[in-house]
This record gives sequence, C-alpha cells and structure tokens, in this order.
Amino acid sequence: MNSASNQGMTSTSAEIARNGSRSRVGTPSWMWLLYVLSAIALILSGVWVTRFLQGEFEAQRILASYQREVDTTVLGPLSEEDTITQFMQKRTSNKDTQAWIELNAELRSSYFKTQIRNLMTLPDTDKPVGSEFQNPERPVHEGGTTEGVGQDVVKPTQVAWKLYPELVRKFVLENEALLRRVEQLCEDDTLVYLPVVDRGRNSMFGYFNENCRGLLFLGLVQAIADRNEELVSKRLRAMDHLSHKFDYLGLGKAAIAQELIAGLHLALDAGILSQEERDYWDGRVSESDSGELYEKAARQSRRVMDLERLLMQVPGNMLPSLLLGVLNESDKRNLGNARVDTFRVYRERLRESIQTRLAILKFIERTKRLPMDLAEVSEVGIPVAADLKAIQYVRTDEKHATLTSNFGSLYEDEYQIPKFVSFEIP
Amino acid sequence: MSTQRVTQVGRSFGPASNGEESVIGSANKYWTASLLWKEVKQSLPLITMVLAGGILLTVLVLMFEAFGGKLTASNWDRGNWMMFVAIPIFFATGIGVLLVGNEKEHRTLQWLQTLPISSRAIAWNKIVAMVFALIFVWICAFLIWIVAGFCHGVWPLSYMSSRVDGSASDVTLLWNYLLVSAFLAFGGLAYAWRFQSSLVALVMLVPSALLVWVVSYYLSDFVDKGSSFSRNIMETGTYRVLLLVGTVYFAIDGWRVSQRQLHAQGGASGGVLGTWLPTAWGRSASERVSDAETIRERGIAALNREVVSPLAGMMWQTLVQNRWWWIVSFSFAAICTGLSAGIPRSLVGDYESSISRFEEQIAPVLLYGVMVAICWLGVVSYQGDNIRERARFYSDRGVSPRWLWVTRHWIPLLLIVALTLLRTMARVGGKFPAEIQTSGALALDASLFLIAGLAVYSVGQWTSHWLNSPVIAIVIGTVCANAMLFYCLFASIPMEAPWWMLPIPFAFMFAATAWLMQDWMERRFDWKFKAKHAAFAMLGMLIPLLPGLQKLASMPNISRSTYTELEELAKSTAPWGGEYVRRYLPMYEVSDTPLNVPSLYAMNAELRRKTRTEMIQSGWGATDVWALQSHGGIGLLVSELIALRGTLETGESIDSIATPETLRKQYQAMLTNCAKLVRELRGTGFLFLCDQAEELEIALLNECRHAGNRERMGELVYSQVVRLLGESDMRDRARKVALAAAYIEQGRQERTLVTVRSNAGIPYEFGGYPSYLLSDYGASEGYGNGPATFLATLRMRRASGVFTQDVWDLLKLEDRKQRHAARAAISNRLGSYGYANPSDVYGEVTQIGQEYVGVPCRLWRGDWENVARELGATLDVQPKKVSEVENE
Repeated sequence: MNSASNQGMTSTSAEIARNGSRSRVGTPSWMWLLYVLSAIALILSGVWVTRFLQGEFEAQRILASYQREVDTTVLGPLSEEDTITQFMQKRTSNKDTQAWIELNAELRSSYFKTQIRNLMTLPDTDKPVGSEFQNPERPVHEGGTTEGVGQDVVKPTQVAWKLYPELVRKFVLENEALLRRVEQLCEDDTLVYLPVVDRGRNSMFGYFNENCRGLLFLGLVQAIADRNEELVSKRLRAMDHLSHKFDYLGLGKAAIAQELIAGLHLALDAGILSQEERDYWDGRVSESDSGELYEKAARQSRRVMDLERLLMQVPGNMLPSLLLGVLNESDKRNLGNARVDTFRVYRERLRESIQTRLAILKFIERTKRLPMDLAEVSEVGIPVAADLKAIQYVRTDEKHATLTSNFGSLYEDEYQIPKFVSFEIP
Repeated sequence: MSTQRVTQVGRSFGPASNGEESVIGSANKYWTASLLWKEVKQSLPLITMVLAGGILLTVLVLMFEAFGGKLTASNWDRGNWMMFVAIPIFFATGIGVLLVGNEKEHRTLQWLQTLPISSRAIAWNKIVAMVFALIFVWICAFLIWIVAGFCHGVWPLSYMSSRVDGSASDVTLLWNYLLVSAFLAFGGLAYAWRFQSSLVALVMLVPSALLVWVVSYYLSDFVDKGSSFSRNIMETGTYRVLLLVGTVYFAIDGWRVSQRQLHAQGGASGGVLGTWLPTAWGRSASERVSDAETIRERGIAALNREVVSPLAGMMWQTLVQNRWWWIVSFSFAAICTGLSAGIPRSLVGDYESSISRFEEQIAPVLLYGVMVAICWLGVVSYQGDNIRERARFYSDRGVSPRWLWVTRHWIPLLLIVALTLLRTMARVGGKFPAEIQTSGALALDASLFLIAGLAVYSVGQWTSHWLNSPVIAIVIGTVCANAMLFYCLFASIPMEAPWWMLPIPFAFMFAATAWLMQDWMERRFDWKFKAKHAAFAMLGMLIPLLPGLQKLASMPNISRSTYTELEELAKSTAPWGGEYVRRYLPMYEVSDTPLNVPSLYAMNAELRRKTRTEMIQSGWGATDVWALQSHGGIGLLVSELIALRGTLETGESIDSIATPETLRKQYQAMLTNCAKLVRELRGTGFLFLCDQAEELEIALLNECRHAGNRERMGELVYSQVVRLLGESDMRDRARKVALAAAYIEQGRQERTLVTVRSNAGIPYEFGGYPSYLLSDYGASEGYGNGPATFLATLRMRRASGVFTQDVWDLLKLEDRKQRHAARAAISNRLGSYGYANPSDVYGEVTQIGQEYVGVPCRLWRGDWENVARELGATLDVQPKKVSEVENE
C-alpha cells in the first residue's frame, strides 16, 4: 500500500471518529437469512435421517417378527413347555415307540422305497399313445372288476398300480406281516413318543413315513380288489390315523390325507363302503379343512427359509430395509408360494369332490332318486362343496348323472384321483 | 548491476531479434535439463500419490478376493481392468493442471520469465514432462495389472476380449482410455494456461469430458438406429474421433495461450470465460485498483459500513472467496442431480427392462458426477484459504479456529441439503413408479443421498486440509473418495461391520479437520500434522472393523495339543482306501416309465433275495458297505436283520419254503457275520465305516435286548455279540484313529488342493463324509454371515477343526448329563444337518420332509454305549425286556 492510501485511511478514520457515526456490532440481514435457511436445512435433514433410522429399525423389527411368527404358529405349542422332554411326555404315548422305531428301521431299506416308487410310477405324457404297450398285460384285479379299479386300466395314462394289479397283489402279499403291524400300530390316532435330542426350539419333529403311507395305500388297493370290506375299513382308518400319529404340532390336525381321499374314491367306485362307513367318512371329511394351518405355517417357514438363504447369499451386513426389500421382492416372485397356493387349492378341491360325492350318495340313499342339481342336495340338509365352480353335476336322465371335479392341471399325483364319477340308479 | 538485470529481463519479455534468439537458444540448451528436472519434481507428488493409491486399492481388492476364495482365473474380469485404466485417467486429470497451475499459484511463472529461456522452451518442456509422466504412469498401471493377473493365476494378456460389445473390459476400448487420458492431460494443460485458478481449470475439464462423451453418444444414436452391435461400433468410433479432435484442439489452444501469456507483451485474455472465470478467487487484473483516491473512498465506505460480528465477517469472506466455485459446482451438481433423479428406481428390484437407455447408461455417470462435485466442494473448503496463505491472516489475528471451521463448511453443507431436496423434488415430480414415490421410499432415498453426500464431502475436506496444492488435493480427494467407497464395501462385506457404524470414519474426518484447525491456520504442514490426520482417519476406519476383528480373534479352533495328538495317531496308522477298488454292486432300481415296472419289480425282488442270501452265507465286507453307501449302506443290512427276526417271530417266511429251524440258523449266521463285519469296519480306521459299524452295533444291541431273542440267537451267538458290544476300549480306539485320519487327511488335501483321491476315486473329504456337512458348523453362533466375508471364510476353514475338537472332547466325557449337553451342543452347531434322535435308535426316525443325511460321529457317547457295557456284565443272566429309549 503506498503512502497516499495510508494517508487517506488515517484521515478517514479520524473523520469517522469525529462524526461519531460508527455503528454497533450487529448481525447483517443476509446472516439472518442464512440462519433461517440453516434452520430449515437442519430440520429437513433431521426429518430425513430420523425417518431413515425409523425405517431401518422398523425393517429390523419386521425381519425379527417373521422369525417370531413361525415360532408362534409352527412352534406355538412348544412355548408352554420348558423342554422337549416335557412336551413329549405330556402329549404322547410311548406304548408303541419301540415298535415304530423298528418298523422305521425295516422300512428304511431302499428296497421298499424302490418297489413302492415303481408301483407309483406315473405314465409318460410325452410318448405317443399306445407306444408303450407293445405287449399289454391284462390288468384285472382279482376279486372282480370294480367301477374305478381296473376298468380303464388299458389306457396309456394310467399309473403303474392301476396298470399292474398283480404286482400290487404280489407286493402286498410279500409284506402282509408289515401291513398288519402298521394296521395294529395305527388303531388309534394317539401321538407316538419319539426320543429326540433336546435342542429347544430347534428340535426336529415329524416322522418320515412315506414308505409306510405307500404300503398302506397299496394294501388298501388290494383290499378293494379283494372286496374285503372289513380290511378296507381298517386300512382306511389306519391311513387316517397315520397322518395324525406324528403330527406333534397339530399342523395337519383337521386336514384329510390325499391318499385317503383317493382310497375313499376307490372304495366308493367299488361300491364296498357300507352306509355306516360312508356316514363316518362323510362326517370326517366335513370336519376336516384343507390344511389351512399347515399352509400358513408352510408360507411363514418358507419366508424364514428365504430370509436365512438370503442372509447366506448376501455377504456381510446389509441395511435392514434393503434386506427386507429383497426378501419381499423374492417373496413376490417366489415359486414356492405359488406351489403352496396351488397345493392348497388342489387339496380343497379334492376334499370337496369326495364331500359332494358322499352327499349325492346320501341324497340317493334318502330319496331313492338322482338329485336334479347340487342345490337340491343342500336343500335337504346335506352339506355340499363350497366352491361349486370347480364341481359340476350333470343329470343326463332319471337314472344317470355325472359329477366332474375340475382339478385343472393343478397337480399330477400318483394316486390319480378320478375327475369324473358317474351315478346310476338301477 | 540491478539496472542491467532489469534491462535483460525486460528484453526477454519483448520480441527477440535474431541475435537475441541465438543467445536465448544457447541458454535454452543449458536450461533444458534443469527445466525438465523441475517439471519432474513438480509432478512427482502426484505420480507418487496416484500410484500409491492404485497399489493400495489393488492390494485391498486382491485381499478382498483372496478371502472370498475368488482369487482365481475365473474371477479375473472387469474389476481388475477398470483398476488398470482408472490409475492413469486419474493422473491425467491432474497432471496438466498441476504443471501450470502450481507455477501460477506460487508465482514461479514470473520468475521463469525472468530467466533467459524462451517461452516456447518453458511450454514445450511442460508438454514433454507431461507426456512422459503419463506414459510412465500407464506403464506402472500396466505392471500393477500384470501382477494382479499373476495373483489370479493368469497371464492377463491372454485373457482379454477382443469383441466390440461395449463392455468395459473390451480390449479394443483400451484405445479409448488412452485417448481419454491424453484428452484430459492436454485439456488440463490448456485450461491451466488459460485460467488463473487451477481449480477452475480442473472444473472445466468435467464439462469438456462430458461434452465429448454425450455428443458422441447422441451423434451415434442419431446416425444409427440398427443393431446394438453396429451401434457400439458407431459409438466407439465417434467417441475416438471426438477425443482425438479435442486433444489436438487443446494441444494447439494450450500452446497458443501459453505463448501469449509467457510473451512479454501478451495479456491474459481468454475470451469471455477467460475474463469472468479468473475472478473465482479474486478480482481480475483489469479491476485492480491503483488509484489512491479510489482506495480512500473504498476505505471510507468500508469503515462506514455496519460493523459485523466475527462470525458474519468470516462468513462474508468465505462467501466472496468461494462464491463462483460454489455456483459452478452447485449448478453442475444440480443439473446432474435433476437428470439422474430417476435412478435407482428401486434399491432391490430388477427394473432393467423398465428403465430407459439414458437411465441405464448416462444417469449413473451423472450421479457419480454429482458425488465428484460434492467431493470437490469439500476440497475447495480449505483451498481458497491456502491461496497466498490467507489462512495465516486469521491466525495472526487470533480468530477462533472452531468458528473458522464452521464458516468453511456452513454453505457447502447447505448446498448438499439443497441438492438432496432437489433430488427429492425431482423424484416426486418425475414420471416414476409409485413405489419409489411413497414417503418412506423418498425419505430412504433422500437420507441415503444426504449421507452419501456428507460422506464424500468429508473425504474431500479432509484431503484438502493436509494437501496444500489444490490440484493434488482435487485428484487425491477424488481418489480417496473412491477408496473410501471400497473401504465401506470392505467393512460391510468381508468384515461384516454393522451398517450403523459405517458413518464413523467420515465423522472422524470432520473431527480431524476441526481438531487440527489451529495447526492448519498456523501453516504447520509438517509430518506431525499429517501423522495426526492419518491417525484420525485410521482410528475412524478401525472402529467399524472392531466387532469383526474381535470375532476373528475369538473364533474357536482346534487346540494345538489335540492337533498334535491327532497327527501322531494319523502317522501311526495307514489310511484305509489304498487297497480299495471301487466295484459296482447292482442295487434296486426305480423305473421312469410304467412300461419297465414289471421287469424292474421282478429284478429288485430277485436282487433282494440274493442280497439276503449273501448276508447270511458269506456276510458283507467293508467294501460292500462303502459301495452301497448311497443306497442306505448298513441300513440295508439292519433292515434285513429285523425282517428275518420278524419272520422268525411270526413264523411267516417270505420264501415260504424255509422251516423255522432253517430260519433260526439263517438268523444266527447273519448275526455272526454282522459281528465279524463290525470288527472289520472298526479296523478300517475310516470314519464313515466306523460310524456304520456303530449303527450295526446298535442294531445288534437291540437284537440282544429284544424280548425272547436270546433263545433265538442261541447262547453262543448271543455271547459273541454281547462281548463285541462290550469292547468299549476298542471302539474308542477305532474312533480316535478314524477321526485323526479324517481330519489330518482333509487338511493335507486342502493344502494340496486335491479333493478326490486319484488312485481310488473316493470322495475323501472328511473320513468319507461330504465336506458341506461340516462347512456350516458353528454358523448359528454368529461367526460369519454369507459368502465372501473374512469371518465366514475363516469359520468355514476352521469348521472341521472345531468339530473335531468337540467330538474329541466328547470322548472324554462319562457323566450322562454332560454327555447329553455336549451332544446337543454339537447337534446345534451342525445346524440343519444336526441329528434329531438320540443314538439308541436305528438311524434317524425324526425327520422333516427328507431322508436322513448322516453326519460323522453321530453315535459317539450315546446312552447305548453304557447299555452295551452293562449288557456285557450280565452275560450269565436272562436279559430284561427292552427298555424305552429316552430323550437326550
């Protein structure tokens, strides 16, 4: 700074001091504006961050609640007990425990599994019709043909147990002793005590009884072919009890087993179910549901499984909201849920098909004639299926009528439950 | 003397005559080496920092991959390529600006002009230094890339794709990156000559680079409507041409402006931009006041102004100092924010099909640009005060460092909030899916944007605090921000840091600058100052890693003593399997079509008869059990044993020809063979077969305890079996040998990376069990989530060791309660593969949905061992009825 400007400054200061016009220290207006803007920005940021944190904690809570849901729904009964030992001791009977363990050990052999699977082999759908029958055997059940069993067995769309009744007979004969043991063990539906390693809520429940179910079903098919009413009744009940013997958590308490519905259809086709028996099964079917609790549990445990899988797939720690988003997204696209839905609808329709069939038979029993429609059946106080869209009843004339259950292409199973049932008044 | 010198200097500014040119020419030769050396020294900090950053990042990525098990040839891909090209590009962004900007900043350009060197020589040396430095950095980056390739086990050059498919790893795009680096370097140099402020020069590079890119993109989009393949060729071609044109333009323009500026009579004239942009941090030359009267008037006006508080004063100063910079940065960031508001559509969903090409390809770059602009806002917060040591002015006057710190960040932080608001408004107003316009989604997006912005800003301001050069600070700030992105990925993925701890390092960076403000104001840029900064950053980055480090330190492992014992045991025995030749044993078959059912049914029935006969007559050997493991192994034998006893009990024979006496003999023969088999299986020292032996022992124990069975078995066979069951010491010895062999052999195979034994074809993973059964051992106890984390990798590596330790310790337990607790703990750690039933039962009876998958050592120290021992003691008395098994 040169001397001129220094001089200027000095004189200016003196001038201002003389005038006494120097103002007090203050905050300029733009600074106030800045304060206001800053306050707004602070509030806005606070709202965003608070909302963000709230969202994260909320997502964390929801994720935890998924796990709890399964605990309360699936493992609900466990919450009352301290240990699995207590749980088992309160609800089960150890009368047949050793017998069940031995039965399991015997049926564990891959021989049974393989032979049952062979007899349950589904037909090829992609092969040209007739190509697989170069040397067709005559598939007639001994003890006479029935309406359902052995009537349309030459069709290439039949399951193996329908195609080869003599193999079923051979298998049942071979395992007669085993079948008797199963029938004996399934005389009631008391829960069986099974020893478990007590892992608290992680303890495993259930019983892998696929071979046992297959054995009973094939035994029933043979009993129907033999027209042994007593045995049919015994085996139907055994099948029903078997589905409850190891249902510790009550998931399928009211649901009626799929193979049992198939067995009932077969028995009705053969016309060997007495009125009493039909009434019993009518009541049993009416009180059953389509396994809603099971479905709910399946859906919830699937979500937890998805979550667990997701946690295994997503490395490290992810924001809970993102994790929840990914989970919901996968939940939306989850084919498993679609399968649960499909299976529920299928089970519902199966149940309704047998329920309607029993109701029409009851109507015929009472009135000695064919009903005009299903409404007439319910008018006389016999409950029929809820979803009448899936079931069609057509009376062709006074003596003939057909009941068509529309399972669509929901499920293809090895029991081949009939879609068409005909009624005839002699 | 001084007059003479002034004359000489004055002459060097003016147009040189021919004689003078020759003088300067000879002087040039003398000065060239020194000049070049000066340029090299000037660019050395940037070279060092960029290369150090690149090496550090590469090491981090390699570690990341190594711990995730991805340091393999198949994972040699785009990421590594991007690292290779990113290093020179970052360098190119800074080098041109640095070489000229630094001179302008420190006013050494004027000093250079006083030397007898031509302006051409000065400019030319800078170009030469820049080009060679760039080539050097490209070579270094290439070497880093090659080393990274070797670490992956590949020769990188043989792994390059030559397709023009638009992917970033496409080798043909290497030319693009080379051209980009040349474009940025020459562009930076030209802008640095043109503008007074090196930061402005750097900023100008961003729109220039974007302009070339966007123009080529839309040009090719306009010209080509065909397939994506030809479109990519178009895009690449156009981009290269424009880059080349741009580079040539900048080279010429830079040269022209440099000569004009260095020339004595040349003025700093850069057109419109050249006149207003240099005012970013000061007034332009034309506005400089020289008139004393004007100064006086201004002084009076200033003194007459209302006296403001120090805070307002400092705010005003920073406002005036940085206003142009803030306007430019904010405008750029705001435009990019508005354009990129559509992404991400969803942080979780897959919306690839629903977003436009712009949102897919351009918007991510713009969003990245926003973050770069925010980072540079951070860098600028202190660089303005670095100029001409303005910071010392405050220090000399005792200004509060805290308040100075606050005033430097006040406006930039407001700008970040404003950008967040802008983005939120754009998302609300745009035509986007309703799910991203919900209040929750908007708040989440805004918060993440704000947090990311603050994080990036904190890195920028932290870098700016300890780097005095604006150019280096800008480049290193950007590198550091990218490195912090890697750090966040590293902390949250491999180290499993909790998400809420990730802001800590960034908070520490703010704290570092606030804490060290006094030192900075006093310009104490010594090693202590930088060490303190480093300490803050290291500490901040360490804190989120602590939970993971703590878990790593406390993760269980097999003890040294146990390992030594196992090693000794394994040495003392030859592993089973050397003599083994896998043989095919026919087994039951399932038909896939009804056509084959009768034949397969008959074949299975016949095979069962044969198998049973074999079990009775010759008995099974260890190799049979191993060969049939996938068909049920010993379970097949147990099933037949029970079935035969059942037939004996009921008197109903399957063959219907055998007499009860024959059946009894068959049963006894089968039992004798079983006893023999148990000893053979124990002798193999092979864990799977030893476990199978124990399953058979339990079946034999049940046969012995079955009511009335002692008579069926006959005294001789009964006593044979009971003695076998009483051999607890031999059983334990076999267990220990088998466990040692399994663990030591697995370790050996892991070391040699062999998973299949070549001579026998046995999947020898853990004593015959697949290794996946143990890979999740202990996962439920919180050690490691998901793949690619250090914790999970270490847990998985130690899983079999921890399991071995647990079952080894189990063998030392005798007390019933302790045994049960230890078995339950092992079962829990095995997770979904954990056993469900106590050991007394045959196999597992409690299963959900699937058949039992056996796990090693399932039957160890079960109650059945005590029962077996007790049974041995009662050989002379009749056995009691079989007692019920109990829960464990």
